[in-house]
Amino acid sequence: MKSNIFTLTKAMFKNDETLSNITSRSTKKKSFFKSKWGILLFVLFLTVTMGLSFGFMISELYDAMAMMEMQSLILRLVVPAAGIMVFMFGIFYVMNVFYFSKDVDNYLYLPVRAGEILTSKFLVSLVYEYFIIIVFFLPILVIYGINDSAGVLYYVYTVLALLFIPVLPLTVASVISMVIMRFSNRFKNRDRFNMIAGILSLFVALGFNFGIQFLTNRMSQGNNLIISDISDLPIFRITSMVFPTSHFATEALIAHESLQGLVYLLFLVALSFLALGIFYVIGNAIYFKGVIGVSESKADRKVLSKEAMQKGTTKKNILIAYSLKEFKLLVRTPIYFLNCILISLIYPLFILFPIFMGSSGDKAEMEQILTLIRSVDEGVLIVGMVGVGFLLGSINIISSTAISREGKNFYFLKYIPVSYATQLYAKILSSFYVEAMALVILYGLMIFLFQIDVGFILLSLILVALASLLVNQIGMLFDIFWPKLNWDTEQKAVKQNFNSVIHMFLGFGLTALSIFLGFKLAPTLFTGFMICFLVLSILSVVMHFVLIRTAERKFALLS
Amino acid sequence: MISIKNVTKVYGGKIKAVDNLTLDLKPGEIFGFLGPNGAGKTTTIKMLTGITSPDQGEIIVNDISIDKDPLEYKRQFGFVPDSPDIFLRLKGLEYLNFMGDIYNVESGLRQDRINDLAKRFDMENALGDYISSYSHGMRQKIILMGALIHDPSLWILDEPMTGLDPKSSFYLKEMMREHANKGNVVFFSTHVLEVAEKVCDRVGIINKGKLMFCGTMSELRALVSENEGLEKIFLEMTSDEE
Repeated sequence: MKSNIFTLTKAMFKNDETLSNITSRSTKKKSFFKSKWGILLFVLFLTVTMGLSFGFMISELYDAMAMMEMQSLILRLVVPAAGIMVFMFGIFYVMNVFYFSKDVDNYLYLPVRAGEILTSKFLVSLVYEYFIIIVFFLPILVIYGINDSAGVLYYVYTVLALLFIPVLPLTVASVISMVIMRFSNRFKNRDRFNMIAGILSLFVALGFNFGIQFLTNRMSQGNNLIISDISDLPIFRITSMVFPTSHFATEALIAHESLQGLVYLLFLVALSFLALGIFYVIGNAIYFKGVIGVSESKADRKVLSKEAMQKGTTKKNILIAYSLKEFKLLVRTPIYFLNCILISLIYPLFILFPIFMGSSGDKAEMEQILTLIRSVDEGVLIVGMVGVGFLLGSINIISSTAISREGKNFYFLKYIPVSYATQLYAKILSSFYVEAMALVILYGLMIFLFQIDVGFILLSLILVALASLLVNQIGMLFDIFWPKLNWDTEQKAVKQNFNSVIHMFLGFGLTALSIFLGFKLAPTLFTGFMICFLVLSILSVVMHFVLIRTAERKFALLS
Repeated sequence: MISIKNVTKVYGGKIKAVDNLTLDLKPGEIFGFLGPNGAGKTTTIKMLTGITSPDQGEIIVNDISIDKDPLEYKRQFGFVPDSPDIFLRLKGLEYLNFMGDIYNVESGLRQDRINDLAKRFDMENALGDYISSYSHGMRQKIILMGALIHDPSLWILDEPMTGLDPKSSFYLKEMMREHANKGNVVFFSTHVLEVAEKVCDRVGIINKGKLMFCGTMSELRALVSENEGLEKIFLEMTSDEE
């Protein structure tokens, strides 16, 4: 039985996308980063990097805390944090490894027990958790140990604690996922789950970001007891209740020199094994019933009504139809939605948050910036708006990945009776749709904060559109020159695409340049508008011809 | 109707994927393009559809050369690629309507055609679902429907029977016949001899880029002596030995 679990776990690892997405860039070549040593080296590198970046902070914190003999608070904070992290990643891993990897069917007909498959799946998720634990928390605990001049026993306890800390949170995450998947059909759709998980994690990251800002603010105001404040936060108290193993691990590490520490350690191990047992029993009962019916998308298989048919077959202009097709694919593919759409809508929030949520200090600072902008001439501001166009057109990476996203279906562009020009501008138009949403937020803010007038709105909109057109043409040109068509997961089309990175930086550069030129030249509103209008129009027309010629030349070589 | 004249395609400067191919397809015929894997079938189809361009030679469909008027040329045919895994995140009807917009088909007409094709291929209850939820055969069918939505005179089908259930395969063959009988052309590739034998008016057998045989099924049969089967002659023509 033991050997079966080992073989299965190994096979699942090799088939799993998560790891290969992280480590390998090419699918064909067997790269070093896919080998065992490569991965080991990769993890080691990350661990050391994290250790170095956390090192000073933890050391300083230790010294500050040690003066009050409260250094153990660091452990009380870090260990439960590890538990929370394991749990949050756990839900994500379990859903992907247990349910969406779709490989279960391939194991069901093998002469292995159902429980063995389940255990192997759990082990795969657990190993992923160990990666995270090692990278984030091993350095912190080791640095703590060094500062504490702890003996060998502390490090033995550390290793054991890290081995067992993830077990209970991961079993809880597994059981929750399994129950949801068994009794609700809502999450059986991989796309939908990834979309929700992606959006949530983005907001968690945002919240985390502002949380840290908030804390550093309070710290700088001389509130040194902040650490005890944090460990008193409800989330930590709930954690030690829900995941008592975190609590046991903390106490074991703090009291590693006494018998009490050993007792806590034994509690930790015993409770982890108990959790595993419960997981096994529940999993055996409900896992397989939940796997059935997991799909990429749902299907109703209903005959469409006459009205739906009529509505679904209206004729549209080809440019509009093509751009709407692009837009639909962007919205419906989770990885595209997160990287191409959500990203450009989230930036205005970064401006909004400090204004409405910030502390009084922030507010005053913000107020200063606002009065500064209000005092700026409209001529300067309108040149700055060109920068907004550059920024919006490059940040959503739609045009700089437009060809790459076609992937193996690129040939479609070539056999349909639609000119390349129409197809390329339809793709740019789909970027405009997304920019329009961001612009609504942006102009709303500007009207609210600076009371800009209608004339300015109209003039600036023309420039924003022209600037964005130009920067989209440039992005498209990048992707025509170096399209990345050979991918197997959509992730690789947008995330590991260098075109979008260069394009984004170019966009930032152009934005900075526009703002700089605006202040430097300080034109009147009319001259500012006219100069920008002429320059952008000429550049756009030139880019148009470059774009079409390049597309014809490059596309002829691709098939 | 289709004229392929001395067409050659070289990959990587050395390998001749298609070697001096000449074919003339007449109105009203179903032409089967046969050959083993890697013989040059797909390359020929790619050149025929404009996905890749020939290094030498000329292709003309309905008196239109692809070099002179590529867009008008591309309106002449409907194309079904060999892999149907495309536009998986569109719904069936969305895909068909998109193709209708691409080929500029009037609203009423496209609705009639969609209804008719959906009925024939048993797809009426799947049009509202995402293509990603379709089986391989259903995906094949929806792509086929999209290719036929502008009622092109030339059908170019790359391995169209693969993955179709017997009923759909039967209807497709019937539709191919119907289409050809109206004076149109159906050009399709296959590596299955039986399919070609049943539906084709003429076949071309290609191996290593060279056309080994081109003629009617009865002409092909005439080459077969009494104790040999069609399969034997096919294997001989496409064997590796020169």
